[in-house]
Amino acid sequence: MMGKPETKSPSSDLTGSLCSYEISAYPSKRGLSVFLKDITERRKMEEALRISEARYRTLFENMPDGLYQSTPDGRLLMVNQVLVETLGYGSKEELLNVDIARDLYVNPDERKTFISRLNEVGKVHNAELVLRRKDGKPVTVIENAHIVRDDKGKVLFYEGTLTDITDRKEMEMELKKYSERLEGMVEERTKELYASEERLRRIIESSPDTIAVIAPDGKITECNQAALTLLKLPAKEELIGRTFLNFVAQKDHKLTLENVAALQSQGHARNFELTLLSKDGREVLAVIDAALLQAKSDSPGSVVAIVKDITQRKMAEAELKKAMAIREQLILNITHELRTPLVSIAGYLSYIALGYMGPVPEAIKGGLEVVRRNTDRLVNLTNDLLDVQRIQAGKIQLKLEPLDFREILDQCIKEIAPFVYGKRQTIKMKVQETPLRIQGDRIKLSQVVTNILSNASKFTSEEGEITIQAEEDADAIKVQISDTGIGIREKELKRVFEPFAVIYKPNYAKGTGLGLSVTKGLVEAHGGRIWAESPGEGKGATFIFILPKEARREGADLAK
Amino acid sequence: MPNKILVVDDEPDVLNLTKLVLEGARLSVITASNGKEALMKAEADMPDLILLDIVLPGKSGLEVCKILKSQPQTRHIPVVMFTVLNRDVDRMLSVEAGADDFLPKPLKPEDLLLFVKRVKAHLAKIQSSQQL
Repeated sequence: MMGKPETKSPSSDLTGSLCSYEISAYPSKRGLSVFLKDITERRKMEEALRISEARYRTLFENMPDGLYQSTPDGRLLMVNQVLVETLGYGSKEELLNVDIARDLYVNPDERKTFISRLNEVGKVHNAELVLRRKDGKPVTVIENAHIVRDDKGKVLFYEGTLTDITDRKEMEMELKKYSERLEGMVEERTKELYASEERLRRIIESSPDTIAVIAPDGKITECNQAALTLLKLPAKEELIGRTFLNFVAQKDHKLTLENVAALQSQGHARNFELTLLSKDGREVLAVIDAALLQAKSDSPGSVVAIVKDITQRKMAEAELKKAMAIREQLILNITHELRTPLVSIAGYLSYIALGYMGPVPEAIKGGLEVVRRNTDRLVNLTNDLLDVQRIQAGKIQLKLEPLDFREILDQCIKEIAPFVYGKRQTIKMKVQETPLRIQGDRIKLSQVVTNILSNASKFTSEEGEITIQAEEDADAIKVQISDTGIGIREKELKRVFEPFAVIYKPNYAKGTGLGLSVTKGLVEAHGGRIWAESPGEGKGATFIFILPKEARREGADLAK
Repeated sequence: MPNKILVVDDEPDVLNLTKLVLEGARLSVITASNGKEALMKAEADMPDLILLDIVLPGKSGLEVCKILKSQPQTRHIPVVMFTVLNRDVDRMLSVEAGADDFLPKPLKPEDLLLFVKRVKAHLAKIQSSQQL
């Protein structure tokens, strides 16, 4: 038999409490020696240790962080499940078999660094490091570790926790990336803004017109390059900070202030002309457009002004005016000189034809008729010349009166009738039955209709047809005079209204070359308009004019 | 006694024609060919009506009219301005110079008859006012 002691299940002692005994039996000379050893205390201690270990294990296993114990030579003694999962291993056993430096570090040398740090201070606190999972993927952890030594100070093992911060790290990276992208965007936008501001600045600087900002106190706060050119200044310093009025000629100070007042009350002042003074003391004629500046950065009441140099234009205008005046005088003189002998010719002719100088033989009457007809042409020419001159000088004066346009049509047809019927032409009327009431100058409107009618007859062959149409709407009357004559080429439809327009005309159509020009001027003086239409050469022409029922008062003779 | 008319014009042909036409209408005509002569004859002969051309050598017709209208002895004589330029501005200037009427010079046969009619109408007006 064997002599190994056997531990039996606890049995009761004398007091009734449970006791544990170790029983050993040995064969002896006298039979069997049995020893009973009370091991209750030892049992209790073992039990306490077991419970403590179990508690420790529970704690060990339930920590949210990875825990380990490792040896200085790089073996793991103990790991918890969290660490197994953190490092991506299948089981504790698998993990316990790894070589820490080789398998868990991205760079095996890092472990040496870690251990030397640990040895120096005895512990590592919140060290961030990257470990390698079983599948090779990196995992970022925070490590806390210390050395466990025995009584004599010999290193037993290392013990530590590893907190997986890969997610947090990834989030941080995301955040960083996001913020970098944001920063990039801000930078880009800033660049764009800068570029667009630069572009705006260049546009303003390159503007051929002066652009300036004037503060409510009248001082110039900004200006572009053109301002310097305008006032012959070498640098912006001579303009900025100075009062705008300093650059305005004394005579225009009042006008400037009036416009400033208008500007403040209406928000803008358009097209006012000022005489400015350039540095060399010369006057610069300028036209100014100004408006209140709608910018937050400027004090309310600041004004942006665009200044255009019109000195050249004004000079040209003055020259033109002078030339027009000379032309006007010339036309008047010529007309006067032409008319003076005509008065004698026409007068004596009439006097003779009327028989005041004795009976006129039939043979002479025919000759006198030719003289009379040609005299009329000359008189008409001088009349037209005067009219054209007056129209072009804007000096035409209308004597407005209420009238029925049908009467004018009737009267003009009567006047033109001898010519029309002489060519056996027919006149068709398509005019409304009720009065065509308008305000107008009877004589001048008759001249319009007569001119168009006589042209229509003149340019239409014998037995042709002239159609007159007239109608009204609420504000205007429209008159259309069509013929079946030679027509007008398309490109000449507008030119027919030009004075002395050189347009192909048959020989027999004699005129002053001014008739339609005068006609147009007279229609326009009434505030109306006139145009010609034609399907082409040989296909007849239509002259259409529209007259407002209430003629423009402007230019109308109010005196009589 | 026929009415006496002073016709002032620098064109002898016009002057003669006007004289012929007016005398044909049984009116008495005296003539002047410049402003100075016109002022003299107006004072000396006291015409019933003056037909005064605007464009004259030396003093213009408008100036002559102003002088006539400023002198007490000639102020009452009706002055009719007489011109070939039938312009609004001429009419206006005539009114300003104190002229009583404005007649364009006749350029067509029908104007000639109208002209005589208007001259006669003026004289009739003067006579009726004198009778009052």
